[in-house]
Amino acid sequence: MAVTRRFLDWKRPALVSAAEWLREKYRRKDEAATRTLDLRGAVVVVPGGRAGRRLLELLVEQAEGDELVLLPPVITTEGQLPELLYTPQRPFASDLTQQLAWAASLRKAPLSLLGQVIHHPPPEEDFNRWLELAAMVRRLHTELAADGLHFGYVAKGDKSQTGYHEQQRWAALRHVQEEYLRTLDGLNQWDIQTARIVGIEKREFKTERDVVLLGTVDLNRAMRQILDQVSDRVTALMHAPPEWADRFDEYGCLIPAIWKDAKLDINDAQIERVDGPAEQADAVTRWMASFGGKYRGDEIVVGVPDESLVPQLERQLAQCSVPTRWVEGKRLAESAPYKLLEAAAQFAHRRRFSDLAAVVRHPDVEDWLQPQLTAALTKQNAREHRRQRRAEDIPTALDLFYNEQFAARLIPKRIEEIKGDWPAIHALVAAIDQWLRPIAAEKQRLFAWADGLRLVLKNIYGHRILSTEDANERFLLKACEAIEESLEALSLVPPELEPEVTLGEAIRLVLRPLGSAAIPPLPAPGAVELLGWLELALDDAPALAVTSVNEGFVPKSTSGDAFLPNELRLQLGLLSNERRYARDAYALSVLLATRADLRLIVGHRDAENNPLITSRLLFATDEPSACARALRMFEKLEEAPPRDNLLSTGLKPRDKSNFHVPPPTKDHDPPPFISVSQFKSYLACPYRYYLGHVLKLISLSDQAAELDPAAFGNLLHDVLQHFGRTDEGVKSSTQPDKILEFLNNRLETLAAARYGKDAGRAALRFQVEQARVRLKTFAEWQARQTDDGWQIVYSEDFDKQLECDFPADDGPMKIRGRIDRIDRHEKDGIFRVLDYKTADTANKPEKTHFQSEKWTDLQLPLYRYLVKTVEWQKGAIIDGPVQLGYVNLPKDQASMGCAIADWSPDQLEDADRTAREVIHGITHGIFPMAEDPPAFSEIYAAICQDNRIGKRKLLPDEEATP
Amino acid sequence: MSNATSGSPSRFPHLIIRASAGSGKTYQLSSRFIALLAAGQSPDAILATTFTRKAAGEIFDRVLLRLAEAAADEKKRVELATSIGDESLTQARVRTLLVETLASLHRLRIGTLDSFFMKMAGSFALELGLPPGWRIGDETEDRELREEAVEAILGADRSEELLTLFHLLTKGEARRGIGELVLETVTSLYGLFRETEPDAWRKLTSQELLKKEELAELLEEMAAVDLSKNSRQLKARDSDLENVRLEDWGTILSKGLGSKVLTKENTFYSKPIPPDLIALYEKLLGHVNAHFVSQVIRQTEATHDLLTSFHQQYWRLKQESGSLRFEEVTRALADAAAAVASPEQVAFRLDGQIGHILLDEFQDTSLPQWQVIRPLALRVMEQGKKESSFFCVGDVKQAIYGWRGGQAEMFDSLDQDLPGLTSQPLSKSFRSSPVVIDVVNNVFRQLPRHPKLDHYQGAVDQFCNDFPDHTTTKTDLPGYVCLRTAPHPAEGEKSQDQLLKFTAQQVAKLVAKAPGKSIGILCRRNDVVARLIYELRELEVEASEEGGNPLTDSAAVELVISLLQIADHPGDTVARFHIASSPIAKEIGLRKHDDSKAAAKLSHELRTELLRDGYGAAIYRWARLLATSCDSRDLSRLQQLVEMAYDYQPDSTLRTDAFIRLVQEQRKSDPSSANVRVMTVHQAKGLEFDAVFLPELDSRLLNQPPAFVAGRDSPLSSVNRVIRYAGDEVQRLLPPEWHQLFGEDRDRRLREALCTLYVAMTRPIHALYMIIQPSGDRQEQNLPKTCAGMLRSALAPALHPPPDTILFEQGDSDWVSKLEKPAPKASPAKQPESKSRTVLLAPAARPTRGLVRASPSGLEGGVRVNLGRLLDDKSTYGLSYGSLMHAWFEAIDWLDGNTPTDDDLRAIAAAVSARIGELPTRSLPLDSFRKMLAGPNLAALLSRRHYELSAERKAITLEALRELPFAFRQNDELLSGTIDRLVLVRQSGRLTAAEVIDYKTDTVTSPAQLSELTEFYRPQLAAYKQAAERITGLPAECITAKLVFLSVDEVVPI
Ligand code: SF4
Repeated sequence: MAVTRRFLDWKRPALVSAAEWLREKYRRKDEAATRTLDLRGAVVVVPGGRAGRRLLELLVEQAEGDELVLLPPVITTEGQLPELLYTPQRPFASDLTQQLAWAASLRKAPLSLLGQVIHHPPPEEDFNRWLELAAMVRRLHTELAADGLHFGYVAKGDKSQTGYHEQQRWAALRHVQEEYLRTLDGLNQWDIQTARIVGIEKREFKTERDVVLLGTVDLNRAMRQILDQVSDRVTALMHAPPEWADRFDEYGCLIPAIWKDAKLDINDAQIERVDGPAEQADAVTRWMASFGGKYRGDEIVVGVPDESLVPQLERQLAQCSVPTRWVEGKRLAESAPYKLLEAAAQFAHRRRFSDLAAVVRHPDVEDWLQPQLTAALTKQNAREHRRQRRAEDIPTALDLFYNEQFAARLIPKRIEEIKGDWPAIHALVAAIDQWLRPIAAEKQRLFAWADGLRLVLKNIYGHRILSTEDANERFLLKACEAIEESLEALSLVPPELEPEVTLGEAIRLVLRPLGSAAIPPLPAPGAVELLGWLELALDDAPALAVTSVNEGFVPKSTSGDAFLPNELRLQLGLLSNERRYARDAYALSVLLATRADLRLIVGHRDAENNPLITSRLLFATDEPSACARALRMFEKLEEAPPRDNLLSTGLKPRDKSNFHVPPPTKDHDPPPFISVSQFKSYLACPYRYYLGHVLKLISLSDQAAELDPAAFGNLLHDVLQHFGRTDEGVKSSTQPDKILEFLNNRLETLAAARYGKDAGRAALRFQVEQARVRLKTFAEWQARQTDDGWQIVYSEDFDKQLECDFPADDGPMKIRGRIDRIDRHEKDGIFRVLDYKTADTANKPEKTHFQSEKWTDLQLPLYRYLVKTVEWQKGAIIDGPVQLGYVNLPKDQASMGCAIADWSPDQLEDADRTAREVIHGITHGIFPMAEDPPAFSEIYAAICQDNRIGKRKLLPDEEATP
Repeated sequence: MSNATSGSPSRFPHLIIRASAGSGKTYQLSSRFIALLAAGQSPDAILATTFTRKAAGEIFDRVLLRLAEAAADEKKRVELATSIGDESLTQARVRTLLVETLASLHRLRIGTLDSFFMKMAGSFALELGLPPGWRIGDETEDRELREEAVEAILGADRSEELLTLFHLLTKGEARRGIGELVLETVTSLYGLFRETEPDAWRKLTSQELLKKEELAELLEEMAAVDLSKNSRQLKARDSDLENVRLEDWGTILSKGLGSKVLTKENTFYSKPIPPDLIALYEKLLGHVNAHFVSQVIRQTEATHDLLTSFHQQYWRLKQESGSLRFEEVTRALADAAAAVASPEQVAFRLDGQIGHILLDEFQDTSLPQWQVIRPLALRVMEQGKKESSFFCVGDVKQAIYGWRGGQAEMFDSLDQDLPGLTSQPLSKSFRSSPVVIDVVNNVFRQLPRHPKLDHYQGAVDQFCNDFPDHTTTKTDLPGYVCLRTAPHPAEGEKSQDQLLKFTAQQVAKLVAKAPGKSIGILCRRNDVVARLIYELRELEVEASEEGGNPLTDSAAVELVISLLQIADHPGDTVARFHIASSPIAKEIGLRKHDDSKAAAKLSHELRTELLRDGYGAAIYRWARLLATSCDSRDLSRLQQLVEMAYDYQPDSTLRTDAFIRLVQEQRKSDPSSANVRVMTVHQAKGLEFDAVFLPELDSRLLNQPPAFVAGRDSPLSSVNRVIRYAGDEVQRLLPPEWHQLFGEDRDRRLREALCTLYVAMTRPIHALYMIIQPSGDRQEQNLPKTCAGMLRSALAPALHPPPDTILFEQGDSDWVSKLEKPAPKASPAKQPESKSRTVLLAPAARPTRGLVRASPSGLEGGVRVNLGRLLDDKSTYGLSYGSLMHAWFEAIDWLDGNTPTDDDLRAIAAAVSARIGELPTRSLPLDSFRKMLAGPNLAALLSRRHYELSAERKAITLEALRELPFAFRQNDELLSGTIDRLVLVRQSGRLTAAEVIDYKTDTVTSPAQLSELTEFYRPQLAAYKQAAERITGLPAECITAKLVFLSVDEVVPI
């Protein structure tokens, strides 16, 4: 017996017509008495959940109209129908179990066989790649089995068929498939497709209810065979005019060969072609605006065949104050617990600093941590007191730690190994380790990981009581439910299939299935809904704009595939381009027939700037119209006027923006002293000096991967400082080896003390080696100096800076600084004041101090004053002229050495004059901004608006790649 | 597709078209495409590829548009028929052809090479050894993988080895940064590495170094030469002896006697060098030579070693992550091109045999790309094969993409590689005015006259010799070309700044004179583009920037960045100060930059907001706070930031730094549809303008030399020798073929520079304005080696060009007034529906669509859910257990009737399992079920007698509805659910009472817990009661409800 076919009223939306049809069919005489509209005898099958929910609404509305209470039918989807019609004899294996069973079967296959499928099978231990492979084969299996086919069937493919060469490969796959089925057999489980095939073969499908098919216009083969077994109970409702009877087959499904040539009655005015995603969104709101308030929000629907358009639509509508509801909802991967698990597992797995920095920035983790760490932070701040680096919060504490322990890439497993005195960091790592203890294992079984991960989540979220009515809390709740389900899937894997895996592998199994899942939002009455293309045909809002009416979306099509190219699909009767076209042509016909206001928006390029092509469906019309429309759809897109700036809505833009460089305030006391190195900053830019030295602003980051110039310099300086303060034996040695031995020793001690032995980045170890190279050259140079009669008579004091008065205009000003070293020539008695320079390139003091006719640095000239406070021998101070210069330790070893400045007394007097000006400027709060930002001032670029267009007067000179 | 095969295959010769700028490349390609369609070729048999997605879209549109135009317009039809060489193309056939093509849009293979390769690779992923589940990763992802790989190499415990290697890499310098250096090195050389066999890096050999004794002996001999008669030579010799001791080899080469012997001058200050000394010097020079060459060798090898280690790590990471780059996919295909699959297999998996290949912009093709295409090309060109053809267009003069792998030389040797190709030049412009074409011809003919080309001469000569004479079809177009200098810069101003300002003024003048005309200002660098935009805005000229600047060129955007920075780094006082002194300080809640507590709080709030609402919504909110302080440009940049943030959201992480970096790095053009467009020459490729300005002609002709130089035996073969770049002096020491390699490389770079100039000069339709700097204060000795110098040598060779002067002009400077007035546009003005974009919605009445759903079971515990309970172990086990029990109880009508058998129960269990998934069916809790039924309270509740008793012996009839579904509307909600058991009591047929029974499977351990659970379920039961009220029509007081706790046999009335 064939399925009964019925045509629904075509002029109205399908669901409305269907609700009426159901009402009529199940109308009972005693309704008034029972007060119910009893549809319990029916199973209504719709293509998607949303249509089902809407149908229920319509049925309730209808019942209410008749003052009845609805006893609803079973409303189900195509995918769930079969299980209502038979009782499978075994439980179903979960997706994960199936995948693991496939992986196991693939691994078992002999290499000769597997080689037919994959030329380079993954290495034995590569769990993830085997799973990927398994996932791929499983998808194939699922699709073919849904059409009642197994791989062997494909292997038997017709050899005479031109171009079919894949028998061996499919035969190999069949072998694996048999193994897979055996594996599941052994577990006494089934996958759903196999169960159905068995059910069909054994003719187990039966029902006592009526099965009503609504909008299921493209059923696969297995489903048809199922329906055949209960056909006397089945009615297919076709939403189409009766004259289209020949376009549908006996199951009420579309006949692709006929739909291929169907004409669609589209009005040119319904089509709009625009440029990119933002323009599409703009076109949608323009279309909405044209109604002038004719529709309520819930009467308008926007169709979104291309999901990547959703963010721009949401933005555009939000900016136009239109409430929206994207029915798919927010992605689970964007939820707090998902990100938490991801980050926590990442840290537990790799123990990288960056992972720790990420996980503590999770607001929910921070909420949990912050109270635990207050005491430790206070303790740390007390220690930091002198350095004015207070950390009130965890991220700052971590930043400070990172920047001192440069590039602490890994967090040691034993907290005691964290170098230095960092109470807050110790406490932090201890807390996190405690929290993550349940997942601290190398390899274990899946259920054990599931339990551990559950505890990790529970520790952060377990105390939360959530309201299902609050959208955010509900999202959190749903996300936790989904994660819990995914964890549960891990627990339920049969022990036979349960491998021992690493945390990384386990977390992938948990998060993978959730990655693309989304949580549909609560209904939002009055909101404009954004719906996927497949949902539109069964929707009933009167106003509809469909975006991305482009090839690849409406209709989708494929060409080329590793397993099932379109031609093979056609032969096998699988979902093919032809079926997709029929489905979409039909859907569009429905929209055209039933929507009061329909707008079809065609894009010209997508979010990635890929060109888009107008949908074929728009040309499914008579020849003259198709030709005319082609002219319109392929002509050069006229440049649209720029889109309105939606930020300016209701706003009159200013002529000039109101963002100013904040002027220096006057409420700062003059500094008690000025360090000699600060003069350079002031000379470069007084305003930036103000930011850096008066306000003491600092920028924090934790991105440095190796020592920056300053840190590298400090390391070398410190080694050399130690050297300068050693006993005579080393300091005045003329043997480079002896000097070098000392230096190397110090370098090692210092580096180990600062960066630890293993925790640092590898690059850092190499930097230390680079430092060693420079010290070697230094040692040789130093030995020569001694040979030449120079003796080190002074070397920088670690704890104390030199300080003296400098005669400034308004009276003496204290200047401070450290002098790296002072040498004295034993014969001539000349003193030379030297500063170590560790930049990559060697410099002459004259050049660094004086540029474009101006003093740019005053460090060395000011040493003339500081040097007078130095007691180079007991009771002897340095009086009289001194040489001033650098000891360069650059990357180029040939340039290592001393560079003594050759300044005349007049020049030095000029330097003093400049210093007086600087002191005057600083003490009087004169902080104008230099026109061009000096080098190394990027951190102030935002405050100084350096990047503002037109702000920078000069272009950098270097050539950029095009 | 039509069966008409009117065209014989010979109509489709295998063709290579050398098409000069503006000569209608795309037109030729689309003609061939249409001709093939018209000849009845299946659309999926024709493969047409180009390089950019934009160009692919244009070809696609062009094919369809030309058909559509021909279908609509007789003149166009004739033109089309002519261009495809098919006079029989009637209107009717065009229409049929168009309609057929429209129905096959999805089968047209017009796209980028990359997308075609992706498709191929997708179809052969398992054969190619690509990681399962591979995809193309973005740049950020790839950078992370590279960093990771570098970290891994450095981390490997081979410190000694690596140190030596770095020592060589850094040419012996103790450079501070290593990670950075390694990353740069591997990033720039990885492509080359993948293209070469290891021995390519080990081809160069050097002479042996002298042994220690040999050197000492040599020095002695040198010292022994009597030079007493020539004090200069004596001094020079002695200083060289010292140089040897100091190992200062460079000086020996470049100065003194050594340099003279090296160049074979053999005289020193016009005095001959004694022959015996020459011989000794030659020996010494051999040693020095060996020293330098072996250094280059070791550096080259060391780099290769480094790349090899990097490759191992990088590829391992790629296998793990599945993230690939286009080049790798191409390479995998190239490596496997012939081996993996037969042509039939390719045809099968790609859904169709490719019979015709049409390649666009061939000069930009890289060797691996060609290696993939070549087998297909050979196949279509097989002798005697009908229905197949090869077609390619390109222009070596427009090869400006060498830096990303394009290998223009292949184009010239293609006819040798593919015998049977017919070559066809195309140098007639369909774009430019005769004046422009004339000047282009002149310039490129006369370039070699530049007096100071030195070793550029050869390449310039060759370029110009190969330069075909251009002509134009647009003989009537008015046109103008000039080469002029900008005024002198003002005091303290750089001449380039002055030049750009001047250019902007010139553009402004032209805009005033020629409104509506398109003007292109073509630069070399992006920051010059930005600068020009600024200058134009100052003059109130609307200009659009292609490519553009990062959004951080707006102060408003910088404030958002500072907020994001505080979110990540609350201790960043720079960002804090920035916010605290901004107009939004108050709203944002940070008024003092030194308030660390407030900053920590703000940071937490911002991160919470980003995570909860997403980047889009959060940044939109902040942008709104800023909007009132913005001028229109700030608003426009801020709006772009908002759009970017919405797009970014799916990629968001817990850190804001990734987004900050994205904003700081991604260039965003400021959208406007202005007629004036500023862009780089590279972006202008394929575009045309009425007038073009070239303001950046003064930069050096050649940019930085590459770090490594590579050579191949022929343009179509792989690189087979590689050498580290060496300075001129060391180059001279190399064997001639290696020395030559450097020359070839320089020539290649020079050609690319000339190509860039050519592309720039051929963009205009009417007018070309070339603006250069006047000669500086310094006395100009010679024409500079810049584009400006080249142009001057061709057009105005005099030295010392004065400021603000036209050095050369041709055509009519008033070309604008000679233009035909454009006819007012006939196209119906497409007015947007509504000027105002304010969306009005009708007021929401009682909602009818999309009602809020409620189900009684969702009401348990009110609407508050305890997450801890959810995350408790085994919670879902409880769920399936519960479902099973419910299903079993559904089977029970009355206990004093029939009870289900074990087999019944098993069948039910199986059905439940099918519905909800897994279930521990191996040990069904049959016993517990039986035990429950035996419980006295439950047994009573499920028996008729119980109701009959309580009805006080009245005659009643009972009905037990099980699993009763219901749905009704309550206020604005739709309440739907299922009542476990609804007992209806009728007296004399009239319904008098009803009872709702709900089964619960919770484990109950104490009376306290029982009452807690009862409270928890109370709202649910209340909802059921309400439903029962509706269904039965009974007043509330006639309906009772009972909760049954199965595990403890407790029945609790509600
Ligand atoms: S003495 Fe040297 S090693 Fe010890 S803390 Fe001071 S700088 Fe570091």
